[in-house]
Amino acid sequence: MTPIRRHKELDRIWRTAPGWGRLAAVNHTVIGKRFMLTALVFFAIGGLLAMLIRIQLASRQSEFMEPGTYAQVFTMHGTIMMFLFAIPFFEGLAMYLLPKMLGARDMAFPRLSAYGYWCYLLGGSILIVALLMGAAPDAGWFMYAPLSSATYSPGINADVWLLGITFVEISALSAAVEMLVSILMLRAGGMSLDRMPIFGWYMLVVAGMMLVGFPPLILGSLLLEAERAFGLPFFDPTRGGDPLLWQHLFWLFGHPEVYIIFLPAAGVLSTIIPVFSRHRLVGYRAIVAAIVAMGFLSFGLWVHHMYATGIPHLSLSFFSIASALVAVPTAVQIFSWLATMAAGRPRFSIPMLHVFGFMFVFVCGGLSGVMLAMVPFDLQAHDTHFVVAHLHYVLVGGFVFPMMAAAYYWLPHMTGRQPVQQLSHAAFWTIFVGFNLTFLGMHLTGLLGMTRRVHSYDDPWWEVLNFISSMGGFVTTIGFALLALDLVLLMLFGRPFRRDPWRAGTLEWAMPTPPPSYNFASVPMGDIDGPSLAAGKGLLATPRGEMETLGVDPLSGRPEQIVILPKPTFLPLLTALATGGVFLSLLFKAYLLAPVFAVAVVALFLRWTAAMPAPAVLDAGQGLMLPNHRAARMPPSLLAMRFIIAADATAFASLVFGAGFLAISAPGWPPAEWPGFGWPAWVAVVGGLVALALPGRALVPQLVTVAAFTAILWRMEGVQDHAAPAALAALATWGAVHAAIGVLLAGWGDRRISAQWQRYAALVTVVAATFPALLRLLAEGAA
Amino acid sequence: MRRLVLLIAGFVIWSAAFLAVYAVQATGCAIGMEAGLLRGLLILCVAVGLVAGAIPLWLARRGGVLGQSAAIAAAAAMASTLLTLSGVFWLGPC
Amino acid sequence: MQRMTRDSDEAVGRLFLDLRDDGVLFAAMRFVGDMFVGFLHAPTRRLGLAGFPILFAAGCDRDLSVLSPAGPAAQGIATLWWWMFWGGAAIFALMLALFLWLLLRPAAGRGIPARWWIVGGGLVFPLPVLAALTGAALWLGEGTLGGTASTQIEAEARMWQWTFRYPDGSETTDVLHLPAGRDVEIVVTSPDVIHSFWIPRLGGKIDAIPGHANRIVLRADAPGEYGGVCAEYCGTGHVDMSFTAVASDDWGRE
Ligand code: HEM
Ligand SMILES: [Cu+2]
Ligand SMILES: [Cu+2]
Repeated sequence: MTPIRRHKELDRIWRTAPGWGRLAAVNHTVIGKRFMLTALVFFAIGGLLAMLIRIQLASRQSEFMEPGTYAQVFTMHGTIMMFLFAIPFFEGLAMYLLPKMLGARDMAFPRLSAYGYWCYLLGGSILIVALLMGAAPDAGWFMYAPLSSATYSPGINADVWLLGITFVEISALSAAVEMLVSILMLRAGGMSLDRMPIFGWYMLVVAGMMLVGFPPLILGSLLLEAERAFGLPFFDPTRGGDPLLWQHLFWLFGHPEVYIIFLPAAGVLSTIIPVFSRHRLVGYRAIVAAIVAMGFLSFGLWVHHMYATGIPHLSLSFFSIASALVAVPTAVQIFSWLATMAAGRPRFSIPMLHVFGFMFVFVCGGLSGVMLAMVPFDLQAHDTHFVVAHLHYVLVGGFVFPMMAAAYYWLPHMTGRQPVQQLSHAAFWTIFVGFNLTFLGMHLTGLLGMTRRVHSYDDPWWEVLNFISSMGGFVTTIGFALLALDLVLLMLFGRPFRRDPWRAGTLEWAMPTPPPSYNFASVPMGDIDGPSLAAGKGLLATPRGEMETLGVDPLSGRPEQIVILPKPTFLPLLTALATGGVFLSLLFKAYLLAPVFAVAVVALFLRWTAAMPAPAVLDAGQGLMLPNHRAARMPPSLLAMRFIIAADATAFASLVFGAGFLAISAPGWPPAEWPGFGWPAWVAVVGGLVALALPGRALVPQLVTVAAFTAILWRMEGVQDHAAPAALAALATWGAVHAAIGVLLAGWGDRRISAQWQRYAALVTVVAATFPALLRLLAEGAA
Repeated sequence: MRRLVLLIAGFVIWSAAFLAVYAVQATGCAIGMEAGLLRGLLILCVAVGLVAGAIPLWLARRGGVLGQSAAIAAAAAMASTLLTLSGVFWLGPC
Repeated sequence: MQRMTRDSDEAVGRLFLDLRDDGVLFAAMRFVGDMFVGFLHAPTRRLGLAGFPILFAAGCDRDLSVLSPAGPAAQGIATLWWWMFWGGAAIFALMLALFLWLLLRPAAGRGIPARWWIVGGGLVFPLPVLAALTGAALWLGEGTLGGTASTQIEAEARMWQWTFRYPDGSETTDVLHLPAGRDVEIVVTSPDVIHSFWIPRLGGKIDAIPGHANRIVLRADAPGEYGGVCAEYCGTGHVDMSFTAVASDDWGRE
């Protein structure tokens, strides 16, 4: 078969149809680019809001915005930048790059990518519409209760945040599961983990962090929404709740989030710096260990946002030391990059200029971060503009500059055109100078006592500093406009090139650019170059009418299966719309409508599994016979189920932690009347134990469990009077929902997947049914 | 897969020790436990964390790129256990 | 030059006083900190140079400035800050110089083995620095946090004003009366949302969290007025939630 014919046939199979067909797109190149483009639009909106903030603060006693409007503006600026720009942007980049770097033709669950994208777009749009209608969230991007509770934020504003962001978070979780499975299973033949491009390692750890980082926030949002909508007082101290619980749940997510944003950028740097140093990355092993260390340590820092909440000094010390310690793996990475530069012959080009921007800005932000980790100093600097300056140094230095380097480095890959470096230098220096002008002096503004989130001030010295910051902010914006123009010019007028303009070694440059819909004409196996791949010397070179890619053993990279991916379909869009229906009906308090949409979501998801290929053994080429994924020992979906369970277990653990935390910390415990589960708890335990003992598809015991928990909820009284019954109701709901999902899977799902869920749900059942007794013990001990 | 688990095992143990110490300390203070006893319990948690943390280090010592990364990570995790929780030795418990 | 000497003389005098009060490490930190502040201030005052140092110098006398401490808690933190500022500046300069050196002089660092870079820069250099800094900061914190004092004043934060209650049962709004030169324990509460009690020149913040009573011990060294604010965003009236702390010698005898 000639390369041209192979190209035509593969493209017919893989391509996304034009016109309306675009809405059915599932291809990772298409979805990845959509993620990035949408994130950039949100970045522009967030930047516009930043300009409004800077106009407001440019002078004393400014009348530009009212305090209420200003609150919406700074809340939305923070929210948009964190949730709608930074995370989705790197998700898009990873989605675009990972399969290409790892030698696969797509991600493991293309429809999930598409579903995640639509959830992100719809959820983000809800927030923007609210902003335009003047009903945007206004309690700050961390939405501290009780300011965000129904009593003090009676409007729809806080609901928009809680529901909109939870909706968007679906995309983060689905991206996490998908990245984990894709990195572990969908690689080139023979690419063992220890030879994987370092970017793969970074994203592997990031995806793992997202998997356990987001659930606490999702749980917290659900609890707060339950309090706002139905009066379950989890965070209300007058009824046995505790505002500190929200802070713990939020920052348990919020701090790792910062590292979730930084690590992909570090992955980009670890990829780019060796290319421009003309030397392979030095210290691969140390870097892998450093990423793992960072991934974990970043979960042990969350209380550094809560130093002033009255927690004992000893507890603060754990978090303070961990916060300082996380600088060590960062230093290991930075010095590995320096070592790479020392070992090679660095050459200068635009991406390297942005690497310089990173070095300058991020090191500065890291140093102020270490300062803030020191408890006494933070007690002064906390909630002042010093912190605002610090966080921008870290986020812009640790994310925006590396992403601009990435843009200059990979845009030629996306467009097939080489940079025309007219504006690039000017754009960089404008952004760089403007940024430092905005934020360097802001450290001092903070130390002079200017707290954050104030819309007006009196001090003339603050005015000098703020005026400088505002001017700097406008310069920065001009710089970003120049950058955008530069990139557009590159796309329009760049010189076309054939392959690998940077002489990089990674696989994404072994394909034609812009990349074809199927990435690789044949899937790489062992050491192989671009032309041989096009000539069909890799695996799966003969198109069979299905979208095929290679599945490998996670560790060794030995080919194990042929994964057959689903064709473009409207199902992700429809499912996302139905999911949006659930969130919108909750938002507008149409509680009868919500279950209708929920049923639609479930029904649509069941449709996803309808058209699966039959188990078979297929010819992979090069004399290799492999089972398709249906016949494989470990199909991607089974591995995905394990990760989904891990995420769910984190949320459940957060719930259990939350209940325990209330019992020992909240005022007004134990409640006057202890709300037990009563006899149905025993039924639930027995149901759980039986389900645990029976292999797969234990329909009846799971049904019994659902019934038992429903009975418990039915009998539960006073959930609005005290957090204790509210927490127990949450546990029982959790148990009921999990058993119900078990019933669904037992009825319609794949047998092995259903068996896994059944075991997990049974454990959840047992814990949920017995935990109240422990809770009572804790509460009475603490009282 | 086992080597992948080994890579994170050290830090999983660190997380467990960290959470255990934090939970014991918070609970101990909440129920008004005697200071000396509480400190003893906390030190015990740290010690158990260190001993457990040595296991992955021992298992990872056998070569390979991944094995070496795992050994570095396990050693880093043990150091982290000792450092992050070092307050239990000298700071007031509540 | 004369100014410089005077500043350091003052600082040396302080060193001995502090040695008696707070122990060696603390005093040494404060000593060097003061030297640094003096170092920063002296050339500015002498030459009247425009620019950043002037802002620092001017800033040091501001009402809400962390850099013009008027009590022991704030003083300790200000000293810590100056230490970190100069240390941070040095490390920043070092990192940037290394990076630019390697970038602009290719093959410059060829002689240094990779292991040295990573072990030296990643472990040997940061670990002792971080350990020393964190140890000092914890030590400082252990001395200032979680203390108690015989005089207690209740501070109730509500949207959007401060009510202070004194041992004799009297109350004031948005004005806090303190004894000068004596430790006071402020018990901070809130009936509505979270606020944060902050008098920058006297010490750090403490949150007012509904359902909890938090404490902070502060001392104003000399009589005077010190600005205070609510530091945690608490709704549209947040900005207006400021107060004045008035320290006097005849507190409680009015
Ligand atoms: C030209 C660029 C930017 C400017 C001029 C800017 C300006 C500001 C200012 C002045 C504030 C403080 C508002 C206040 O406390 O009243 C702020 C808050 C914040 N910014 Fe930015 N920003 C920029 C870019 C970014 C980026 C790129 C990110 C994240 C990736 C970001 C994330 C945040 C967050 C999380 C907050 C906290 C919001 C809150 O207090 O609720 N900003 N920004
Ligand atoms: Cu943090
Ligand atoms: Cu307030």
